[in-house]
Amino acid sequence: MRLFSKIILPLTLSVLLSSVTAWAHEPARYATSSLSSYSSVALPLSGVDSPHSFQIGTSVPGVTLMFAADLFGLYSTYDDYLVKELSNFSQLLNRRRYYWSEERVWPCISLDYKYRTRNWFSLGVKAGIGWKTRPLRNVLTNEIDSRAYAIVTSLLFDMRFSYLNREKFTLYSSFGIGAVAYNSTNGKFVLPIWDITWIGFTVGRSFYWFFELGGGATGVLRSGLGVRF
Amino acid sequence: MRRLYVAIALMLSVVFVSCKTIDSDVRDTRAFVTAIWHEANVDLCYVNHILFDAIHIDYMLSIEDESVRKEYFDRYYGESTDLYTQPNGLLVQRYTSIGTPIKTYYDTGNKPLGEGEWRVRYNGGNSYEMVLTPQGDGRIKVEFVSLYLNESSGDAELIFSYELGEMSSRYNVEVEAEYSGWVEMVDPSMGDSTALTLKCSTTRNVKVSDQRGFLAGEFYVQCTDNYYDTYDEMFVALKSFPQYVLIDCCGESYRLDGRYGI
Repeated sequence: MRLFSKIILPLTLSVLLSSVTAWAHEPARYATSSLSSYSSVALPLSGVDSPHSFQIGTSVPGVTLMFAADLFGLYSTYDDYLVKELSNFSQLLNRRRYYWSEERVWPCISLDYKYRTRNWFSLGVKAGIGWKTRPLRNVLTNEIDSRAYAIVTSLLFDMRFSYLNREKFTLYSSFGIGAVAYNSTNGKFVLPIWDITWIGFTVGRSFYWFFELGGGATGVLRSGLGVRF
Repeated sequence: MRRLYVAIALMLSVVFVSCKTIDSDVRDTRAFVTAIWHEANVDLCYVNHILFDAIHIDYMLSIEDESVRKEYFDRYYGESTDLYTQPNGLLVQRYTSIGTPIKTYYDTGNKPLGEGEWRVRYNGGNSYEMVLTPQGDGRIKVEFVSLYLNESSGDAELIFSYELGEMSSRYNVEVEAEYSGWVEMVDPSMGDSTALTLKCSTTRNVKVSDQRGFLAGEFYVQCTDNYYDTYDEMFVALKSFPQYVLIDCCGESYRLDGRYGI
């Protein structure tokens, strides 16, 4: 929480503030920000006239999130439901009474807001959430007795560097730092985390599809949809 | 619109790849019911063993030839066991590996089993005290004053009858007993307030041999665990030919091969 209040929140607010300030200082430009109004102008960029962008994506796999969760023992909590050291028949019976049913994993869904301050540079915030869940069932009735889960949420301050800006195609990299919160059946805590996009591209104008190769909080292979406005 | 569909399709493809379902563990109901039966079986075998000990002592006392009697006793208990005559019965004294004596007192009233009341006391790690009372129809009632097995304590009440086979050249006599009643053992290892109680009861005669184990019979097994607040019950049928154990629990039947399903 301290990290959030001292770093992420101020950064986020500063990005939003600068966005509003920019809007206020250049009303004419943003008021005519449709593509048609620029069609006769030889602008090299696509969407540059729309400094804000918002995108939603999913990743495969959310390696860092889940690896970290496993690394810190958060998602190996199933056995904690069941007695490990069997010292009497009561415990043995309890151990055999239950079994772990199918585990369902959604590694990461990400939400990403960016504000373009330069043609080649954007600032923004990125949030990600991934979870796993697995029910513990009674062997006799097959009813769910309890459910183990791990929810991993991350919030990052992110900066994007665009290498190539075409009307319908952009190429970029990005890097962000922030915090990740683990919340599982075994407990909860917050850690700092990073996120990197080695290479990513978007296809489309105001409405676009993106694909990224990265690492960190929001996964390795990412894809999703976004809008520029 | 086509591009929109393509974009959504590409995103959904990532979604479908990223969402995973990992296989379930094996739902092993058989292992669960088997665990209860095996634990109940330990209790039953302990009580069976106590009964057969008394029957063999009675048979030994009926042997008139002293050398045969001694040979029979030595074969049954081993040569390191001593037999002492008491004013009201017998004392069988065995020794542990470190030489500690383990005593079993048979207060027989100097009467054969089935003709007078016997009181048997044993204290050798496990311990028990039981009273065997003839019922007048050839059957004997067994009531336990105390019954301890490892860390468990319990109670039992059985009515049994038995038949003796011929003595073999190796001084072995097979005993086949039939009994009905109940055996209840309480596991106090998690404290008295969290005890697990295992009760085996039968209204039909269970047939058991000292050399061949369970031959036939049916048990109703109840398992109550106060710590985990659970209750389980099952019917267990012991079949002779071929030997197997059939367990009915929660509408499912489980066949376990062998005499005890082990």
